[in-house]
Amino acid sequence: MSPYDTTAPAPSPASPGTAAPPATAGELRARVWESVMALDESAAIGAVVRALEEGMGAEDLLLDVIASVQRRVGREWAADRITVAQEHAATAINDRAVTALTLHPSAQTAPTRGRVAVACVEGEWHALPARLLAEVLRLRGWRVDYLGAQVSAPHLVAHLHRTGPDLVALSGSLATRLPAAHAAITACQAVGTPVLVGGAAFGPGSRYARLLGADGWAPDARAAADALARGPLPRVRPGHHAIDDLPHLRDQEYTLVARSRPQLVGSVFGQLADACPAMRTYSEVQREHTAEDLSHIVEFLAAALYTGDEDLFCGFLEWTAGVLDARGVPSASLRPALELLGRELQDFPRATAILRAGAARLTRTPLSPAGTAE
Amino acid sequence: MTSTPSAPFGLTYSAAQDTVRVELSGDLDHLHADLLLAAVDEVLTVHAGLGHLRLDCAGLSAVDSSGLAALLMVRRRTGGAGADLHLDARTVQLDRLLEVTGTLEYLTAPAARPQARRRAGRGPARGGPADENQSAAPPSGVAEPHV
Amino acid sequence: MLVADADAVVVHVNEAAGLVFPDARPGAALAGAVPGWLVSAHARCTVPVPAQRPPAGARTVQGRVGDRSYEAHPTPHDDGTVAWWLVDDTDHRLAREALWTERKRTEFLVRSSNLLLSSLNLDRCMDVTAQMAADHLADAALVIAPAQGLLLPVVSCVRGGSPSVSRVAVDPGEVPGLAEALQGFPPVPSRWLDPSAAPAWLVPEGLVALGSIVITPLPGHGVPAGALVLLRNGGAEAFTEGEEVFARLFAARAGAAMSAARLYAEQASITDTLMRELLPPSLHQVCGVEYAGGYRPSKDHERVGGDFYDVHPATGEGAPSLVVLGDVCGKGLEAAVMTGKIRNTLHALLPMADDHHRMLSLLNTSLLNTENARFATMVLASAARDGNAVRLRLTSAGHPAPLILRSDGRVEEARTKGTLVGALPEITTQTARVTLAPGDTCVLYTDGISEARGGPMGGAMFGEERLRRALSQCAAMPAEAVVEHVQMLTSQWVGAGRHDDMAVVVIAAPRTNHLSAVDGHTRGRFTA
Repeated sequence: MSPYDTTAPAPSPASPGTAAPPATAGELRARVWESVMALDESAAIGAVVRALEEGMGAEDLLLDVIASVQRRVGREWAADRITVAQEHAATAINDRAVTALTLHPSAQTAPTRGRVAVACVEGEWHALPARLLAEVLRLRGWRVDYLGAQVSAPHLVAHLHRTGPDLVALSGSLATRLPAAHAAITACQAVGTPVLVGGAAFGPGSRYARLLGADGWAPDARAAADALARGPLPRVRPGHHAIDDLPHLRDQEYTLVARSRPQLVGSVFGQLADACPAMRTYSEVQREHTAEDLSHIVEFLAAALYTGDEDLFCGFLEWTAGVLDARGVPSASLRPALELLGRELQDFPRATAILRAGAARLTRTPLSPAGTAE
Repeated sequence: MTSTPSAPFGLTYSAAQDTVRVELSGDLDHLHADLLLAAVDEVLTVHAGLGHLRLDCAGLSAVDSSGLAALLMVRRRTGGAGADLHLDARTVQLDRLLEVTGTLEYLTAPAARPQARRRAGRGPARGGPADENQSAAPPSGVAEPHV
Repeated sequence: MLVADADAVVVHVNEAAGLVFPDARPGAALAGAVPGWLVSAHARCTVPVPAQRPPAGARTVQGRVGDRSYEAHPTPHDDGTVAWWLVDDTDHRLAREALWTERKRTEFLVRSSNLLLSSLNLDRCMDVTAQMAADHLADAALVIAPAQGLLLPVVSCVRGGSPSVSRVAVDPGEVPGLAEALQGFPPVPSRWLDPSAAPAWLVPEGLVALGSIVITPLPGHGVPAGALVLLRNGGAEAFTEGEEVFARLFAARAGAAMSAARLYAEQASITDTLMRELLPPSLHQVCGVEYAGGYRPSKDHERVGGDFYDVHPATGEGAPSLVVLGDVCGKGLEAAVMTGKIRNTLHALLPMADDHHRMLSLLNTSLLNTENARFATMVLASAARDGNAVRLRLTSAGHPAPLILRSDGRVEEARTKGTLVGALPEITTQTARVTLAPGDTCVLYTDGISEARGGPMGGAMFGEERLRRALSQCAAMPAEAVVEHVQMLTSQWVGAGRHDDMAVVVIAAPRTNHLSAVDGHTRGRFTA
């Protein structure tokens, strides 16, 4: 399936006295993946630390091994090949591996460049990509303040006032957090600090990075570090109003939909239960999952309204259909929910158009094979 | 998003012989705790020598830590006035709160009778070895009740 | 009025025009009699065109004559001559220029205010001030902040360049006017400085030859903000009085912004010091036991809330460490004060940590008062490594009992209960003893977690049942992953809604990896 498959041949174990040839990144990925899946923290950490001592660059280890293993964790989860618990445990072990690497004496760099604040968007809990960027920038001589997962705009701004960094690097993986990301970008720019954004939330490509007025975008940590090495991002101009970026927000549809999400979910849930007899046999946990799924649909609808981009919603539906399919849940169950939601929101022209486009996409597209969604 | 605003808190009295009944309704929280205390102070002033203060809790929707602190103060005041406090028609949530915080016995113990005071100070009447929170390993410890 | 023919020869000059152009007499060549701008305008006017409409060049023109300026309006005649009507517009032009300058200056002041006010960071304010001043007021500018110790923080910038920061060990008294300007009070006027008296550090690289220097104080709000030094090249014009006044207006804005930034920095550092005392510590592995903690304060009273936790590491190998997690009744500063008192008292009582009941009783007594029934609930956990296992003593004082998560996903409630502390004359407690096998974890939490309201349809309580369900998904996760998972679920549960403080602490017996070989990467473990 991929060069990181566990079935890839591994090097023969080192015998005492003879030094084994240093592992390649691919071999190392396979080894770390195996250890992470076995929840064998010391093996995972041992493998990367040994590779560092054998001369592999710390940046390559962070990005070509750990980040790669982490991406695979996400793919395997989407394809229902590992559980949520395994995903979390793997992430925690990867995080510890990052710590072990960066504490190692051969991965120390004295700061020679400016100061950067690295943070995740509020509501964003996937902190590892931001952590990796922080460590890569540190290795490249930046003075880095890593603020961690889910940083609220006020906390971020307070940090900027106190430390006056040259740049904020903002990470986000969830498109539903784009409104929060926009708030953070605007707030940072208002205090005169340019913002570089990255992460799955801002794409495909740099689409939403540009839309939300970020000063820079990078597809990955290495590209971000390269971009910063080329020179400072231009300082942003003051007196810019965020509303100018998104004139369609004037119709208030985003605000109203986002604010009434619980009521919308409640109402659609009730009607769905009436329309769909199978739901009556659902367990409490299953009912809750259904409500959560509806909640996600409304969140993504709200994000599509915010960005004015129906592709955001359609992409989410395709992804969800793939995930459901991998778990043996018929994705056809999404369509009645969209229909009921459309009826609830019939006075909202943009919302109904987005919902229609989403339903059409579900009908048109054959389900994407599970596991390729990323 | 919906936040849950505090439900309005209400009190209604009725007095008969040596008993005053107060019906509580709404949220007993940090916004309303002082109202209860003021009302109880007034009751104790007006009805000197009161035997029983019955708080009807059926209408209480939520009690937070400030609400519990107010109930504890009410108990101090009724105790000082020699009146018994009764918490009638407690909701499941209120019972749970009083249970977890270990205050149920204290709050409802009769006032100013020496043997009752001692009882209020006693630990939960659980003797003997308590279960161990242990799965596979052989149990070795016991719970330690204290006075 | 002046008339000239198609060959650019003056035909007629009236008296007024004669005063302006004394050499212009009939028959004289236009070129020698009037300025070039009028000669070429006339030439454009007399270009022969086939059509009957007036030549395209017949437009009003403007130009200088001596130190005054004129508008010249042409009227072409059929005989090929052009009559030029001259209007003196000197005053008009001056007024227009003054207005334009004024507009530019206002624009500049507004822009500097926007830039300066958007930051509360002192370094950023100094950068902006130096750069704006260099680009708009002078050829180079220095912003000098009051001395920090023996060093003078200086930001310098030359026009078109970017600001550079340095700290120079100099005596401001060496530069006339600088020491006074840096004092901030009493106010001093701007001061001219003889360029030859300027020390080398005052002159940024890139200036051709120093022409003039002016030192302007940056007035703060009762605190010294610094000084602005403007420098011009030798060739450039010296500063006019108007420019100097304007520089002072700019300095007032820059000074206000810099002193606000300085006050903010001081305030933030004081708050930081306080927070370090009040905020929970970050946890890690202590004496063979893993700890992780997470704390999300309520937004209603940002940062200093009523929940707290502490880990007091064991004093020796095999001795227990003490973990305390608690929740103080009430909100805001009063709750924070009580939290501080509890943490200090428990710290002082550490020597008797082997007797939870005694510790809590003493704490209870120290908190009792007659005015109110403000109380706290808490859990004490003593944890010691014993072989691969961790032995725990857990005592709840009116607090939700800790949950024990076994490595196979089972969740149990620790059998401990007791009364809250700080309100009742006496307390009762019941301590539970629990053994954690490798991979087991013990979860302490406050009711901000279990009573968080929200969910997909809003208004629902997260509840202990959901918490147990969530924990059973966390079997065998490292301690900090359990904390993060619980925090993530509860945060998502409340969404943007209001919530109480939420604190969670996890105590874990580290997993042992029996199957790992010495070299740490045995194959086949996954499929075994």
